[in-house]
Amino acid sequence: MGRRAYIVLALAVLGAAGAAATWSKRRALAADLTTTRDLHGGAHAGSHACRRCHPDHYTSWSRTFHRTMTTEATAANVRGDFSGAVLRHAGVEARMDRDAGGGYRMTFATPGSPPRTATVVRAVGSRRYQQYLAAEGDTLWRLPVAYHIEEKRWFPMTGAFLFSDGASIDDPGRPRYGGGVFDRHVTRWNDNCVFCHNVAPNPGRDPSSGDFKTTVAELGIACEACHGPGAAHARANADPARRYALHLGGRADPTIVNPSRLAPARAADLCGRCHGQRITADVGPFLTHGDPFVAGDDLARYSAPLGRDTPLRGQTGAFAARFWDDGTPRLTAYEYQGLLQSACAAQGGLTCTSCHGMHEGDPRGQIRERFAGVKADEMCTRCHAQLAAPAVLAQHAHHDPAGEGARCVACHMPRIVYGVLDIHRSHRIEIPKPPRAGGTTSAARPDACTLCHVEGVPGGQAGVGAAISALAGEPVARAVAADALGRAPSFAADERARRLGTLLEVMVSDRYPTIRHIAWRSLRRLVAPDAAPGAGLAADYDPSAEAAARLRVVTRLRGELGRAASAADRRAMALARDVDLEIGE
Amino acid sequence: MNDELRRCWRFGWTSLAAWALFGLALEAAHGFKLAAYLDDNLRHTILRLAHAHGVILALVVLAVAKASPLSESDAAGARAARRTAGLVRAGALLVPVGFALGGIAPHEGDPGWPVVLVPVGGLLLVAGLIRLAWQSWRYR
Repeated sequence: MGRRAYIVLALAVLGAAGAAATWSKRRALAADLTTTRDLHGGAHAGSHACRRCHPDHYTSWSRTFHRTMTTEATAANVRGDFSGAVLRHAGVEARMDRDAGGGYRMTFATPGSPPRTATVVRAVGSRRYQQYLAAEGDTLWRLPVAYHIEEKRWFPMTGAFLFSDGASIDDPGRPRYGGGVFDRHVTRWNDNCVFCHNVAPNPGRDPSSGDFKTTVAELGIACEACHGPGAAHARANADPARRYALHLGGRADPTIVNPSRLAPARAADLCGRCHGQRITADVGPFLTHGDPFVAGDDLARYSAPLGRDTPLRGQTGAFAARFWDDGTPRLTAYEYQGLLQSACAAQGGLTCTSCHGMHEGDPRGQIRERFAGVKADEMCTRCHAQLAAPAVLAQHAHHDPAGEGARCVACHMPRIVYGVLDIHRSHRIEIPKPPRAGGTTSAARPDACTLCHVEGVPGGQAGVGAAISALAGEPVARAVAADALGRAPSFAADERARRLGTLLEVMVSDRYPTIRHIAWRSLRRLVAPDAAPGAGLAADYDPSAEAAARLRVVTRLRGELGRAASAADRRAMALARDVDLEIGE
Repeated sequence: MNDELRRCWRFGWTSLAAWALFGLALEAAHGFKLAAYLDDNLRHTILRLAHAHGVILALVVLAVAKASPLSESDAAGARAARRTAGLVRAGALLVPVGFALGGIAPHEGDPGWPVVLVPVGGLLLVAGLIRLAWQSWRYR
C-alpha cells in the first residue's frame, strides 16, 4: 500500500471516529437537555461563577440594591458616618467610630451603667438607610441605631417603625445595648432578616439547645436567589457543545431556572417569597434546615401569604393592622398579596416582571426601561390598548391626559402603603372608588382621589380637607395623609398655608416619630423641593428628639414661614388614635 | 516569485486591505457611538479580535510570500509548497472571519455559532506553520 493510501485510510478512520463521536455527543446532549432536574438541595456556585458566562447580567445585577442587601462591614460597603458621630436618644448616647484596627463599632453609654461597645460585622441595606449587625457568639443582632443614607444622619431604629414614643417591650433574651425603649428593635438576624436578605438562608437552629449555626450561600440577594442553585449548571455548561446546543435549540436549560420562562404565577411566587410576608404551619423545619423554596416552586407548597384574617395560634386579628379594612395591604413586603388581589394578575396574567426588570431600569424601583418616565402608562396599555389614545384617556381618567392625574398608577395604584420611612404605591391594582358627597369611601382606606385632592373632591366631602381629616385616624392613615400633604399638586396660597401649618403641628404633636418624619419631609417638599435631604430648611429637625426639642425647631420654623403657614386644625388631630402597631419597618 | 508565493502575495495584500477597512469601520462605530457595537461587551471584544487577527494574519501571509522556505524546484516541492501555503491562507481567512461572523449575534457569554470557524482555522494555520518550520530546516 502506497503513502497516499495510508493517508486516505487515516483520514477515513479519523472521519469515522469524528462522526461516531458527534452522533454519541448529540444523543447525550439530547438526553441531558430533556431530563428534568430537581434543584432542591443543589449546590450553589456564587455570583462570581455566573459572571464568567453572563457578564452583562452580572453587571446589571451589580447595580441593584438587591446585591447590597447584606454585606460584610468593609469600607466599600459601610455607608454610615463612623468618624465619631454621636446620637442621643431616650437617655442613651451612642457613639459611632472605628477601632484601632479600622473596624466599625458603636458604643452605647447609659447613665449609671458601664458603656457597652458592639463591633459591627455586617451591614443591611444600602438605599434609604443602613442597619448594622453585631455578633454575640454565633448569633448576630441588629443594633438599635441606623444610618439614613439619603439624609446623612444617624437615627434610632424606633424611628423606622410605626411605633409610638416610649413604647417598649422587654425581651430578656436579647443583649442590652442602651436598654428600654432604645433597644426596642434590637432583633436577632439569624431567624429574621436572614430569610429574605440572602441566598439560600439556613438559620441552622439546634432544636434542643436553641443555638444557631447560620449559613447562607451568598450575602445579599444574588443570582441564585432567583435562578436557583447553579453549581450543576456552571459545571454542565463548561462544555461548549452543550452551550451551543442550548443557544441554537432555543430550549430551556433544565439545570437552572429562567424566571422569564416561568408561568406568571410561578414568577410571582419567586418575588413573593420576600415581597409577600408568609406564614407556615410549622416554622421548626425552616429554622432548622432553612427555607425549602427554590425558584420555580409553587410558594403555596411551603407557606401561605399573610392576609388580614390569617389566624395565628387559632386567633384571628394578629395581622389585621397590616391591612386596610378591605384587606388591601398597607405595608411594604406585602406586594405579592396586592398582586394576588388584582384582577390584572388573576385574569390577565400580570406578574411582577411584567413591569419590573431585575437587570434593568433605575435601581430605585427597577421599573423596566421601556416603561420609564413618560412611557409609564404603557405598563397598562399593553393590555388596555384602547386607553392609549389621549381622547379616550381623557374621558376615562377625567383628567388632562398630559397631566399626572391621568397617569394609570395615580388612580389604580395610589400611595397608601407604609414602609422604610416612606409611603409607596399599593400593588393591589384596582378601580378607584371616588368619595361621594356626604359619604365615606369603603373600608376606611384612603382613596386615590383625595390623596391628590387633599382639600376634598369637587362635589365630594365638603368643608374638611380629606387628607387633613385623615390625620385624626390611626397611624398608617396618618402617615399616608402626612405624605399626601407634601405631594399633592396645584394648590392655592391659603390651602398651602393650611397644609404647612398642619404639617408643623404633626411635627410637634404626633406621638409617632415615623409620622413626624414623613410630615417633616412633606414640609420640605412644599417649601424647598430642591433642597438636598440633609440641608436647607429644617435640616436640624430630628423626628426622634424629645418634644421640647421638636417644639423649639418648629417654633423657629413658624417664625420663618410667617403667614405662609396658618394655624393647624388641632381639633381634627386631637382625635388621633394612638394605636401601637407592631409593624412595618 | 513562483505561483504559490504570488497567491500568498495577492491574498496578503487583499486581506490586509479588507481588515484595515474593517478596523476603520470599528473606529467609526466608536466615533459615532454606535450602541450596537459599544453596548455589547462580548460583541465589542469579538469584533476587535476579528480585526486584530485579520491584520496580523495578513502580515503573516505576506511574510510567507516574501521570505518563504517554500521551494517549487521539483514536482514534489511544488505540491508541498501548495499545501503549506494553502493551509496558512485558509487559517488566515477562517480565523478572523469566524470572529467577525461570531460577533454578529452573540448569545449570553458566547459568540454566535460561526465562531466554530476559529478553531478550525487555527488548526489549519498551526499545521501550515509547522510545515513551514519543518521546511525551513530543510531549506538551502
